[in-house]
Amino acid sequence: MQLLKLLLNGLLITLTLFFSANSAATEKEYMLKAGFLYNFARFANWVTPTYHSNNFTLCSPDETFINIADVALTKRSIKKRPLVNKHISLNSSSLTQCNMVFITSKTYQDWVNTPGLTYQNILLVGESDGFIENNGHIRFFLSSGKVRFEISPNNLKSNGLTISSKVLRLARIVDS
Amino acid sequence: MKRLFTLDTISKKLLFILMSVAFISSSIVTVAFGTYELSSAKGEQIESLNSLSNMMSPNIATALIFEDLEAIQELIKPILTRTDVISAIVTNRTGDIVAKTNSHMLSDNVEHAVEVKKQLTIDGNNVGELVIYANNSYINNRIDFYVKFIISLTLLSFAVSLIISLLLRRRFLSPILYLAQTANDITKSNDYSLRAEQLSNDEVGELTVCFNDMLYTIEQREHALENQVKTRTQELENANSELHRYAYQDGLTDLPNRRYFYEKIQSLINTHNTNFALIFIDLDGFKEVNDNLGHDYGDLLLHQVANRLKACITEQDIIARLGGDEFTLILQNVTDLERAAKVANSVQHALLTSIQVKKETVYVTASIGITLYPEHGKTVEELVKRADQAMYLSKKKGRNRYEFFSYSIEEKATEKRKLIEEIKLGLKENQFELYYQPIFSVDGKSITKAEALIRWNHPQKGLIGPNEFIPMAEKNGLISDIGRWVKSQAIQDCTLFNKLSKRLIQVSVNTSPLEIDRSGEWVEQWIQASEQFNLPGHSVLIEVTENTLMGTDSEIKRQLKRLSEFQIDVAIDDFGVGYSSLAYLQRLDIDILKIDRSFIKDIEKNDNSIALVRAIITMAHNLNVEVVAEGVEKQEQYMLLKQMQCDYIQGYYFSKPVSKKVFVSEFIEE
Repeated sequence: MQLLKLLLNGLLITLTLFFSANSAATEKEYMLKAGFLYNFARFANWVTPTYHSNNFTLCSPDETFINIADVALTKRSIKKRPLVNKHISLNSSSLTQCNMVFITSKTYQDWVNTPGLTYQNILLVGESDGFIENNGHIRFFLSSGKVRFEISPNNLKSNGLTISSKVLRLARIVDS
Repeated sequence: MKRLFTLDTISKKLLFILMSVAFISSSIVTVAFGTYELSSAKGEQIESLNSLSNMMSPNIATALIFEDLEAIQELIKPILTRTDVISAIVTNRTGDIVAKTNSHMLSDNVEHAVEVKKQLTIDGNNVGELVIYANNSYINNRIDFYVKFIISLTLLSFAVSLIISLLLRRRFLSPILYLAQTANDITKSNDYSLRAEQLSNDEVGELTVCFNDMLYTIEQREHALENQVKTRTQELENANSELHRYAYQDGLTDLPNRRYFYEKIQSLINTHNTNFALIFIDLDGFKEVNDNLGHDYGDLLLHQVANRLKACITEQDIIARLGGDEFTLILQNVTDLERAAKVANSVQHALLTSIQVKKETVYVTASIGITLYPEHGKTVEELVKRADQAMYLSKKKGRNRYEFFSYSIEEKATEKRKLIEEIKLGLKENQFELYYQPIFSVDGKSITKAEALIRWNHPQKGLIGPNEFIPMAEKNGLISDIGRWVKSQAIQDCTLFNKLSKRLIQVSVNTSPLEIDRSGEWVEQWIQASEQFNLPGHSVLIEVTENTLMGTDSEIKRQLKRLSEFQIDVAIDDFGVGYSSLAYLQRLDIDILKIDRSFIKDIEKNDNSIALVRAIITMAHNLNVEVVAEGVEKQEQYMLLKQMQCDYIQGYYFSKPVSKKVFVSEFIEE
């Protein structure tokens, strides 16, 4: 019994350690991706930009990411407007506040399951497979352990956005 | 090769000037251009690298912020396509090298010369730095390029300049060269009718016109000179032929002259295997014609004689006048004396008939001498001399005849010439001596006079009497020298005799007619000599022949009177055999007559001689002139003369001529 208890404790410790390590890696990745998102915003161009409260708002339905972004992207500005990170729910009213939305892998399924939302004038960035096919604009992926990204210029254009060729040059273009 | 690069023609000089200008101008441009290019090359390189980094920096900065190192590496790699870039480095914000690319040259430790840094910024934020390192290859390449370019440009410009210079030279110089060539052609050909074509209207064209004008002037002058030269040449030819005629032709007879004669003989002698006869002709009696009728008659006579002589010879023979009345004939191809004699005969016959000169009839004959070549001489001089000797022999033998040359004639002539030389030497070396023959008073005892008689102590022949050399001396102008010596010696001897005998012994001296000159110098000499030796009066008796006194009148009278004034007596020698003219005995101051020995020689046998001698003595005494009988050799002769009251006796009967020494010892010191 004691042995079983010991084994259970051991398994608990192991799982705890595993998850804690996994959590630290995800934070670091999101820190990096937050920086990428900041840079995407710098090189992207909104044809008819709309700013809520005169801020540039980075939205994500994933609160974890927003928390990390708050740390990573403090006191930054985009297009001479302060960068604001905001956790949102996936609905039309929430989206009107956003200039850019990051759909994490954790929130991807929710996003997929919430159709009918319009992302006009919103830069839509994801990290899950099939994101672009679901009209996403930019998707992160890992290549040789490094974060890389792919862009669909058509999807961008259809939502009233363009992005600098400098970024396009670094990305994998995935227009069908 | 050296001559090729010598600036010895105007063409080369012009080419040199044009090429020098081209070279200097292209050099200046090249140097200026090269200097500018080299100075700007480095700036250009930096500017170019800056431009490159500016162009690349946005993409690199973007890749940097997205940390896409592969993209950065890809971006900077093309920078190395520039050959001068040796390294490109990208650093991030913190200065860490995130990408680097090197060319292979970096490993060669090539020092980088240029460094270009470019800050990588996005929205004014520095995200990193791009650094590009470059070497000097850009500048070096530029230098290489420019060196090649400059060399090519220089060569090209030089080639183009050369072609242009050659074309310009041809264009500019062709008129001058053409003018020079024309001048050269004229100089070589001396053809002043040539003209230069005017090829241009510039200064050279004017020069051509002037040149042609000058040629025209020269041509005209040359024509004038040519005509003048032709005229002069013709005149000279005429004068020359005239001179030739004068030189080789006798003006009086139109016969060849002496010069022609001598040259002709010389040319015949020079001809191999030739024979000819030489005939010398001297006219007898020509002098008389000249003297009596005048030279114009003489000239006409010579002309006619020449015509007659011409008729005596054939066409191949030659007649010439040597001068005066001397003619000569050259009979060619005559080998024997007979043929020559035949021509000589025909000459004599040709002159036999009288010659009519104006209104006078003249007779002349010819004395002819003949020589043969080569028998009688091998040279012109020998032949002429021997023909002359033969001719003189003809003269001597009685004229109007011909004589062949023989070597005996020449021997005599040689002897004669030798004798003359010996007389001269004898006078010089004092070989003559005076002998004295005493002249006795008719009583046969006392000696009051002595005749000085010359003898010649010849070194080889011994003692020689006067007959053997006096005639020769008289003919050859030596008698005056001998007479002078006799005069001097006789006076000295007379002084001696007088001194030794202490009485007057009169020395009689024979005087040649040739010594007696019309000016009376001989008289002055006697007077001067007598005074010099302070001779007493009547110490000297000068013996002259009758002929001496015959031709003269007042002059000889004056001379004898002057001698008489100085008490120098005069005797007539050889009285009775000359052109006896007794009138002069009366006119002249004669002191003594010396009866010629021919009257005395047979006086003892011939009554006529006695009558003549008696008459002479009587006549002389009547004229107050004393008489000497010469050549008394016998007692009978002496007795007869004594009987006829002859004053003085001279002859072998009493004494032969003796030397001075003997005379003194025998007749003075006794």
